[in-house]
Amino acid sequence: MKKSKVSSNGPEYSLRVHGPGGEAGYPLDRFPCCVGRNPDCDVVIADPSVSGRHATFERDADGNLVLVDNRSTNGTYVDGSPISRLKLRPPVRIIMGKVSLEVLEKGGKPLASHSPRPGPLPLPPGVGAGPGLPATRSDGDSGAAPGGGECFYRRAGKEHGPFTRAQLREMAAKGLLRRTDLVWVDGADAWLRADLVEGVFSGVPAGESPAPVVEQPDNPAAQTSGYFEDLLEFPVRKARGEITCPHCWHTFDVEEFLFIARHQALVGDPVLGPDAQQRFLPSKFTPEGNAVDSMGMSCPDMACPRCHLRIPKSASEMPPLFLSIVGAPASGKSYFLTGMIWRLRNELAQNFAIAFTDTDAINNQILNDFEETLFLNSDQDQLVTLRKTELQGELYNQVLLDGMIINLPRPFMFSITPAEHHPQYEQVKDKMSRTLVLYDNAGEHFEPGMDSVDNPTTRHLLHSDIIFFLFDPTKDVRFRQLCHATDPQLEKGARVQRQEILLTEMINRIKKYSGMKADAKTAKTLIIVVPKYDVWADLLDYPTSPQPWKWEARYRTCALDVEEIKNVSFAVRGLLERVCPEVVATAESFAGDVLYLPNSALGRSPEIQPDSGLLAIRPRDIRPFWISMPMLYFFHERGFIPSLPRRSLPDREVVPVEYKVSGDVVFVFFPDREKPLQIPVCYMGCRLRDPQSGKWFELPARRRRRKGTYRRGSSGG
Amino acid sequence: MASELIYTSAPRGVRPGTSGFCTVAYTRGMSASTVRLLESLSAYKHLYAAHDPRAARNPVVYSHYRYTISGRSLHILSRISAAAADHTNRSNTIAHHLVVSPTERPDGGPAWLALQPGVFVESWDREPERLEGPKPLPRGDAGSTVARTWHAAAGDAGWAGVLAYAFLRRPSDPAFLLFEPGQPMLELIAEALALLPPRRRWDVTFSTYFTLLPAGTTCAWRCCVPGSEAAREVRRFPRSLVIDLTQPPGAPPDNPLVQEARQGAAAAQVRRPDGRRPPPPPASTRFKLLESNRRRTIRLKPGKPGGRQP
Repeated sequence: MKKSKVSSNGPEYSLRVHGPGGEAGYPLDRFPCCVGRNPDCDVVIADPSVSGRHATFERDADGNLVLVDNRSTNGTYVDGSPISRLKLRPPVRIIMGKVSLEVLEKGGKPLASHSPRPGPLPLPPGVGAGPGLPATRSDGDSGAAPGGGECFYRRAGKEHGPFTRAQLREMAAKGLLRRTDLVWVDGADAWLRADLVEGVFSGVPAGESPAPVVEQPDNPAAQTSGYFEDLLEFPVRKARGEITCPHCWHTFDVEEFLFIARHQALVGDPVLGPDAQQRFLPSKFTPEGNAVDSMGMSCPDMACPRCHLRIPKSASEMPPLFLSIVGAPASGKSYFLTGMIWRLRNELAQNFAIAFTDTDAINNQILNDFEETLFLNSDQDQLVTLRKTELQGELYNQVLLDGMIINLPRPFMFSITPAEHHPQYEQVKDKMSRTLVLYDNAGEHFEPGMDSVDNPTTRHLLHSDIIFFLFDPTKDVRFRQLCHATDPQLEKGARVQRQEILLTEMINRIKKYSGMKADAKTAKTLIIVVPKYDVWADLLDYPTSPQPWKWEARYRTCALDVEEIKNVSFAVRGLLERVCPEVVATAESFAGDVLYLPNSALGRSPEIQPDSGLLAIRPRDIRPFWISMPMLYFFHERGFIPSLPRRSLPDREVVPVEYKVSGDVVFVFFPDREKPLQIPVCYMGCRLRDPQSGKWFELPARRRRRKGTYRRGSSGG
Repeated sequence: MASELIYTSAPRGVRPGTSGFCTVAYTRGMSASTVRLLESLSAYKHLYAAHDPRAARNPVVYSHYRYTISGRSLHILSRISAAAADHTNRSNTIAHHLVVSPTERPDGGPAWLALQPGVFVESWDREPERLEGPKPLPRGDAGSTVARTWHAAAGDAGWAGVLAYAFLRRPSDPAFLLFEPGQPMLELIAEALALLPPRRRWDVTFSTYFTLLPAGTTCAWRCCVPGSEAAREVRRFPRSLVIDLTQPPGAPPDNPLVQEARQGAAAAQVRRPDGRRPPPPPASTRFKLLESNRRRTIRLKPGKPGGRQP
């Protein structure tokens, strides 16, 4: 506590502060006496629920003690009523955020409820609860719990109770009651967060929270059978319900969520600027679980405690899957992303019983506009183009962090949930319900030297579960010499670029920020997407089926022909290894599982718009090919989509071969050849076609390995 | 004198290894933090897609923001617009920023400076370069004349005075001008700024096509396209002045600057001491056909002496 420099005559008082961190007493004899979180306050309360300069004690002309609320975020309550300015008649109890204060006459006794151990907080009157509260408790009339004093708690919209306070404390100690649950105690007018109700979590170490229900080992979801058992291999949520912000990738506990004030007067945020609505740590909630701002408005929107950017509620409930799309400028990332999302909206629902929807239409607005331009254009004959992705502007959020202006990429978010007709809906809905978070960076962001502390726009690479690297053959001189198609991107003078440099830069950034060892391989899946397939299709010596999936009666959904996809990947890998081997070598030095998938976002070459000189396409000509395949494969890897069971193929008669596993490579020896074929172990278990002889051979399945870091020298066979 | 930076999509940038959207020219000696700040201000949001037949009508951003960098207060005057297709045959934009120190700012104000010929480049097809010296800035002041552009756009020149007066009364509250592409927003802002004392003109931050508030600054006068996300933000500022130039706003509320905007400062000053009205403008001016703004043509009828027409 700092002493105020101005003393005043009149009765002397003392101030007792009861906070989560303990109790303290101060003489209240110098005025004005400012109370708040700022270090320059006269009474400093280091609690995030208290505003910087929360309230001030003053003496009026008659020597009376007056309390003035300094427009604090969480309000000031005296004996349960909100005040803006009030003449005090000590002893009184004051609530500021989570903190309870008592003003006593000097030498006076503490208020009864705080001696020796405080009872329930004198709860402020409910905003949004009030008279309607009993009606929200469906079983509220079922009788008081033993021990007297009805208490209830709410979680995920469901109400539980009644309980006694002792039972609540016991549940808290056992981890059955979470700090973030809403609790109503007898006589209260509002629901409060459980950790704000005094006595409930006392004695429970801070930060201890029960594991989410989905993590319970006896969860019925664990009783699944068949293919979807694979889902259980992947952790859904960390033990304490950690949230990863899709904007700044800060990891935090759910109880740290800030809420976004809704009242128009509550404007101005230190991180987002003077126009943004204030963010606040709530202490009061409506029965629906919305926070209540200092002006009494119900606030459903939540924000990251670090970057203060809004996180859609469903994104906080469904664990994220991060996807990064990397590639050189003009490699077609935006077209790929647009086409892929458009196809996934249809294909996942129609074929795989998975609903794929916008998590938040505001965040996805740009991508939705792109989809409308290419696939829902009212003028199908008009030449259209997607604008070049900028390095600033609407695809980014600017925030002020640590005194720096920082550009954060604006994520696109989609909800993935099993459709209700999914064969094992009840069993898998928790595990499969995810938020897909993806980013559309400008290609320039991946160039060497573009990663800086104030421009961490590619930092999502660290958190990504899968990376799509677009290798554009039309930007590679060697490929261009082989291609015979007529395409403006192949014309003499069109830009070329060494793309393995970007791949190396991407790898270096991931290793640098994640602390990966130089010789370690990542557990992330890396898919080398080779776009503009319509231009180079004749170079691939393998037929690609337009839809490598079939109805599988056993699962009552379609199943992916993974073996066929791997064969295509093997063929593309062979082509890349022949034309630009450094790309294959760089990719496989970084990731254990690398897949090479061709696709075409447009299905044909664009043309030059005569007036503007822009590369453009007519919507009626767009025929995407394998555009969703990388994502479908990823979903298969995650266990969301089953694979076709192994079947006999008469046209693929297998020849016997010898093989030897060494590290991450399988050496396959053909009788008539001196040099063995070197194949990554991720192709084990497949029937593959020898690119030289065209003969089919089979590799045995490798031992299933848990997701983790691959290390050189470990056996994959 | 001002430091400057030009940012666009080009085959090569000033910094080795850069291409695509990058800095293609900047004044030698500019600090890295200033370069990063200016690059972060270079975003442009197309109102019409590059393939849209209306793409030529995409508004130009003229903006004036204030920043403190390394303890120095700086004025950043920018022009940002759509540009011709880049070397990869994709859409492009160009941004030209001037960094003006408080001692170098001309009395005319930021909008007056932006209107001077040769201040901004509008295209770039040269090799990247470091500019050897700071750019000399024109000095001067348009003086306070009748707000003719406001008269053409809003039907009453007095609206310039409403805008200027709102800033003097509540400088922290943003004002919104709703416009249609093609309206001369920079000229409108220059006329309103001319009504302010020269020392206050550089206090006004503005954007002639406001889409997003950059971090770390404020924007007092925001020109927004109706229906845009930025225009919808108006609802969050109930105390703010909103002038909708897409429909006749009617007669403006009176204040001292309204008369000045209608009659010019000189006339207003002449009238003030003795209360007499200034002589009517010459007939050629009174009957002048005002410039079309595409939406409608405003023809002035001969007005009574002392009426609203300039």
